[in-house]
Amino acid sequence: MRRFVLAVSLVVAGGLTAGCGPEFDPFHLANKFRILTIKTDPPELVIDPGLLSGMPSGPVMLPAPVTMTALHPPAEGVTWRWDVCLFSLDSLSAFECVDPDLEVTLPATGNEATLDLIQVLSALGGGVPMGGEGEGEGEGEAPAGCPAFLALPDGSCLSRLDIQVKVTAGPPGEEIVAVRKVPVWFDAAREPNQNPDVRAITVEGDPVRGGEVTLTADFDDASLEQFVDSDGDTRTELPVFSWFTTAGELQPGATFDDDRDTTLILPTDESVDTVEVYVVVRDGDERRGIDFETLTITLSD
Amino acid sequence: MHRSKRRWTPSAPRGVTPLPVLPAAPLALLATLLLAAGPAAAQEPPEGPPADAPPAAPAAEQAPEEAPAKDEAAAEEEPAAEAPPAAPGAGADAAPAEAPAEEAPAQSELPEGFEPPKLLQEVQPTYPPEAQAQKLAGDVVLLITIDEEGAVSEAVVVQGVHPLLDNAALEAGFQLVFEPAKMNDEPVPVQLQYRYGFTYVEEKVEVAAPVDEEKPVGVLEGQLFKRGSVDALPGVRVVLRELGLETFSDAQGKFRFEELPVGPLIIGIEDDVYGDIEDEEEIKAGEVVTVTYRLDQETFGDRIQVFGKRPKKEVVRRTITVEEIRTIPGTNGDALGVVQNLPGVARTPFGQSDLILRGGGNTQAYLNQQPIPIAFHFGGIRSTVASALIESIDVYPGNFDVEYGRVSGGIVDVRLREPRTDRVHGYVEADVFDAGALVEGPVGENGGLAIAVRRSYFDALLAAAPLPDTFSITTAPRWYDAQILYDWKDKGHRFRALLYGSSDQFESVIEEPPEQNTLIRGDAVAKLEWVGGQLEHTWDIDDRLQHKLNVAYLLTGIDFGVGEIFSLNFLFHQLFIRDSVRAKLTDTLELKVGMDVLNQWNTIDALGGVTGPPREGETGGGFGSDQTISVEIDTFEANCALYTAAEWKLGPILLIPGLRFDVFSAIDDYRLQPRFTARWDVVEGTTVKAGVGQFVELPDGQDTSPDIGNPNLKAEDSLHYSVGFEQQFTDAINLDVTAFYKTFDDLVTRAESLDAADDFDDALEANAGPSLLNQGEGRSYGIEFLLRHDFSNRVFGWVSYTLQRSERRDRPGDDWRLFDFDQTHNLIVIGQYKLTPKWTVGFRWRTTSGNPDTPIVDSVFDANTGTYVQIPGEPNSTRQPTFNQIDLRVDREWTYDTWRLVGYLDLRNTLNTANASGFQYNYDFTQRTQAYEIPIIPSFGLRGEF
Repeated sequence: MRRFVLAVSLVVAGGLTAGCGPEFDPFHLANKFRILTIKTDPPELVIDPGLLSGMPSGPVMLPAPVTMTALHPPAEGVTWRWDVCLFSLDSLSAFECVDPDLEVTLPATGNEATLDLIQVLSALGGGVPMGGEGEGEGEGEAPAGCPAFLALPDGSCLSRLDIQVKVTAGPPGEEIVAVRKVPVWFDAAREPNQNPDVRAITVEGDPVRGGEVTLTADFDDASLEQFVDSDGDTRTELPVFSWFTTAGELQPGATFDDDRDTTLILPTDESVDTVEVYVVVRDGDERRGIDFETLTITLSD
Repeated sequence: MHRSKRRWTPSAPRGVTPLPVLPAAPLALLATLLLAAGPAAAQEPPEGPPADAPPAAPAAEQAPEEAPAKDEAAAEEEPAAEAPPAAPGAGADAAPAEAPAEEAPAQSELPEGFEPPKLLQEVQPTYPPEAQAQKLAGDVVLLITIDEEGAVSEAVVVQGVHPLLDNAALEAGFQLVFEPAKMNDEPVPVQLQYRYGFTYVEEKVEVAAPVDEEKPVGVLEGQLFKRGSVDALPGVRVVLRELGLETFSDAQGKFRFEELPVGPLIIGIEDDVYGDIEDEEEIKAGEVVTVTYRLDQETFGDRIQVFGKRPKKEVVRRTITVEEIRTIPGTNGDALGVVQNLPGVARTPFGQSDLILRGGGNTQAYLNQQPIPIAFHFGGIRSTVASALIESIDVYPGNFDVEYGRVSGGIVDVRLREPRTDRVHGYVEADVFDAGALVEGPVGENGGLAIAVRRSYFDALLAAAPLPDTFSITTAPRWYDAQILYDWKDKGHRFRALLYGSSDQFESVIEEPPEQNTLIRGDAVAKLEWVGGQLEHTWDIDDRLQHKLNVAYLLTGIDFGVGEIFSLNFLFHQLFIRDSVRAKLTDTLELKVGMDVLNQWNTIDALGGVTGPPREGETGGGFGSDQTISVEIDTFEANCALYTAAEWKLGPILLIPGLRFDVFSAIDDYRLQPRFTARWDVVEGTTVKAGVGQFVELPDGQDTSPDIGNPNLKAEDSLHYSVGFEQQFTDAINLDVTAFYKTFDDLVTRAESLDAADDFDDALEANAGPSLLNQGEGRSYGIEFLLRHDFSNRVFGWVSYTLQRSERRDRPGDDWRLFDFDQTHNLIVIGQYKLTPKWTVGFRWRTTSGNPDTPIVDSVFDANTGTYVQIPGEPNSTRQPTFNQIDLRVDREWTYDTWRLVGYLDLRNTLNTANASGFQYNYDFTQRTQAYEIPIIPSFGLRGEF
């Protein structure tokens, strides 16, 4: 309890000092190479566990390949590498893959890549004990109907595995690392999540150098789904919008729910002729569906 | 007409009987001698003329050794107290004091060649008038040191009666002159006990009527109070010089003169502390003139406060009496805040309230020996118990008594005082942080009740503060606490009932999420509330046997959450039972047996990342970047302990072997913990001490959860070693030096990370295995110095210094790393000076090694949450700059007729020193800037009390 009391104190202190930080470049200013988001389509996979044990519960539906796109501001000389890892560490261990042998490099073209789970498992070969099914006898044995692959030492069956995709990108010597986890549900009955849908960014106002314009995310509310949260409650996804710009200032840099517009204060720097703006929308904290849109604004004097 | 005659009679020591020579003094022979006093009879000096002579004067003399003690008749020949005229009905005779003869070693025990000292000049103490009003009497025994010159170089009270008489005896004792003791004809210093007996005698004597019976007369009566309160002032001299009359105020501060001649009359009031005043009153025929005087304190008196009043039985128990510390700068008058200025206590940054003793392990706060959830409200500014109700705070940085357990760090035990029962008292106080009030007084014949409440108004201040538009506060940080204490005692029984509670709450609505982490939005709640009660019964069955039972119940709720991504709800029902018997088996052996039970019902409802909050030695992680898990836990745990300890006094040596046996039902574990402490009073004023013991600490409740922890975790073990000495230089100045070494085993740390997995099977097993294991170890060692000047001669203060190192090893084979709060040097100097009775100034200087810091060397962008996750370097591999701060404080008191007002100005960080607290990083951790602790903070407060 002591750690939580301390954490409470820190949160209170942090809350009181919110907005009192030093003058760093704001998060929304994409003035250097960085990855703004990684969209995967679909955002999660659902696999019949029987497929892995050779005893599917119904007609076999192989998981479709996942297409992945990394959003980034313009940059030159960037190299890209996409890797996938079946078992990775948590944030305290920088998301490292537990075993280099469990990491597979994905086919990619620059900021786009494809994740084909079947190919990945195949590439890993014998490293993954795919076959067999537990008989539910003895401690540590896979429960009945659970493939050995998903059997846990405590006798339960793993229902979800977060496969981690790691992107290493950037100019040589200045590479940055970004990760994206793709949940794989071993539950044939699960309705897989779909990405939210942002259709465009609209601009209101004249993009005069030094002036202000209003940016609005044209978002399709029909893309918001209902889901059962970790508490067992049924909820509707809540869209959260993150805004970025290559120049100028956004007020605010993030909005959510029905608040879908922001103000862009355009730069006064005459060397800047165009401004790239981006909006990234997430469908909620537990859902991890992502979409994005970009817009180029040409400045006038 | 009567007149009352009072006098005192010092009963004399009647001989010099040496004890065996003690060889302990390093350079000089120290002999302890006993001047055994024979019975002193009540002495009746002849009446003296009513003059200005003091009403109490030496009446008996003594002669050491060869001079036989004077008998009553002889005493009658001494200069006697004059008999002041006083009010009629002044009371009956008091029984004469009698100094008991003491057993003295035989003369033959004197070492060969030794000649005891001979008294050359005797000095009798002055009987304080205040003592007279209280009818004080008894024997004060001094231990005096006579140097080679025959002068008294040191005197301490070894058997006191009352501070008034003790101080009078000390004052006289220092003026005694001896022919020095000799060993082989060479003068040597010796110590001897010297007794002053004070006898109160009061009798009524007839005096000639000073007034003409035919003339009309009147009566003057009055009462004296301490200005600023309704406290009566007894023992103050009231004189009518024109008439040659004087008297003293009685216990209620009252005085009375009868049959006074009619007309104007000058009344004089004389007192050493309250000064002299004169006033004129008109005496009217056949009437009673009533006057009331409220006297203001003009001088300081000679009060000496003692740091630890109870005899020490531990290696280190630092006791703070509240009265002496409420004006220490930088604490805003909060008693518990002063604990952080003691040796062995790590400095925590402003706003944090952890008590970290001797390099780690949990520190448990107790209230009357029963645990309380937290000692401080949020931010560490204010303790959760009203300072004015606290009698003392015992701080055990290690090697604590068997009565305490389940933690391996230290103990802070807050003891509440008895409510005052002489009348109704109270106060109202307010400062920039909060306001509080207390009222107390008698209830029934033997009971007292005190009620204290406090509420912060930080929320009101914040309402006026500029806050970011994106941040709206629905409940600003605010705290409440309240205590209701009833205390009753009679005929060896003492019953105490306590109701107490505390509430800290902070709620806000984050209108727009911070762009670098959009997960932080919506409601942010931090709430910690607890309420409970204690019933305590202490029964002194006889003078050798005491039974004590304390039952406490505590309900604690914690509600902590940020939006829908993280929440934590704890609800604890805790029942504490502490039952102990203390028996004095012989004059040298005392036994304590007891049990300490904690039954706890836990309901935990948590939603958050599986990694939980950072543990000691960890930095950050990524908020929301790990798999979210929802956990509901309902558990019951019974923790029971039996303990026993003996206190065995072998002359100057005190040995305390003890044993504590703990059973923990929740983790199915038990521990037998032997503990041993020894203290040796090598010579008067010098004590050597040592201790060793085993201690055990329970894992945090959530750590044993099967969902987010490991239900198979066991208790953490710790061994404490300490050795040191205490040196009393003078009555007021003492030094405590203690070296310590502490080990920790089976610390709960995160399981071997999956880094070590050799293949897929290992990885899978490790991933599904317990996230926490009893695999860490730790060690801390260092030395503590505390040089104190107790309050005397207007001065109070201490110098505290700790040199220490505390390290941890999280997993077998890992390198040792620094503990989060490892502070190599920690120096605190506190000083207070009472400029006048109304003005006090003080300062505090702290300089401490900066806390260890873990550099952030890189980051990873987590595309799932859109946040950057820090990648730390070697844990605690760098250190923040040295902390340096000076705090100043000024206190002023104003006294009014029936109440007084105290105001203070407290300047924390007076020099506005920029003290580093850590680093602030930009969103992707590629830039950082030094963050600093608070700048200068002026705070002021007022307190009115009656």
